[in-house]
Amino acid sequence: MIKFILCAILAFANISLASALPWSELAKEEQAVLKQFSGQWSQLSSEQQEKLQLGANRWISMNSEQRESLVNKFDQWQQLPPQQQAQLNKKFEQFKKLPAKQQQQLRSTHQRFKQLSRDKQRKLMDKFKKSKQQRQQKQNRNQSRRRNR
Amino acid sequence: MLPGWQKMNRKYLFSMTLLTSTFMPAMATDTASDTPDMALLEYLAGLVEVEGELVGPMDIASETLAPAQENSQVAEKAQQPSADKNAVKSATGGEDKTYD
Repeated sequence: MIKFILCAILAFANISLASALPWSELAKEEQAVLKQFSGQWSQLSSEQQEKLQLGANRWISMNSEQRESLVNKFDQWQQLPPQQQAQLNKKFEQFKKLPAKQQQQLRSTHQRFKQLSRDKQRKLMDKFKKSKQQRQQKQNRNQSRRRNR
Repeated sequence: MLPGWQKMNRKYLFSMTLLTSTFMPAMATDTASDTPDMALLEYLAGLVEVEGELVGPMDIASETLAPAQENSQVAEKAQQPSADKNAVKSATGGEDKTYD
C-alpha cells in the first residue's frame, strides 16, 4: 500500500514537472519581457507560468500607444477600492462566460454608451434601473403567489 | 586643500544636476514599460479578446463614464427611442445578468 502511494506521488510529481514550462523553451522576446522572473521561474506554478507567458506575448504584440493605454487603465484599476475591484471582477467574470457573439454585442453597446453625454448616460441608467426593479417586483409577486397556492 | 566636488565648476555642477533630475525619471519610466511587473502581466493575461481587441474589467465598468461629448453623431443616434431600448436590452443580455 505504501509503495503504491509513493508511486502515485512520484507519478503526480512527474506530471506536474512535465506540465511546467522550462525557461529555456521560452522565446527570446518572451525571456526579455520575463527576465525579472528568470531566477524563480521553475518555482512558479504551471498556471502562473502560462499566465505570465500569455501576458508577455500580448505585451510583445502591442505597440507603444497600446502599452501606454493599458498601463493607464491598469493604474486606474489599481486606484480603485478593493470593494469596487471585486464588484467589477464579478461582472467581468460573467462577461467572460458569455458567448463570443454576445460579448461583441455588449462591447459595441458599451462603446456607444460611452460616447453619449453624461446626462444621457444617467437617464439611460435610471431607466434601466427602474425597469429592473419592476421586473424584480413582478418576479417576487409571482413567487409569493406560487407559495400561497 | 579643497575636496574634489568643491573644485568643480559650479555651472557645470548645476547643469549636470539639472540634466540628471530631468532625464532620470523619464529613463526609469521607459525601463518600467519595457519590462512590465507581475501584476500588470497577470492583468494583461486576464483580459478577453473581443473582435481583436483586448477587453478588461475597466472597459465594461459603468463607473468609468466617458466625459460629456455633446452633439456627437453617435449620441444623436442613440437618442432615438429604439436605440435606447437596444442599448438597455443588449447591455443586460435580455436578463439581469451583467450590467446594472
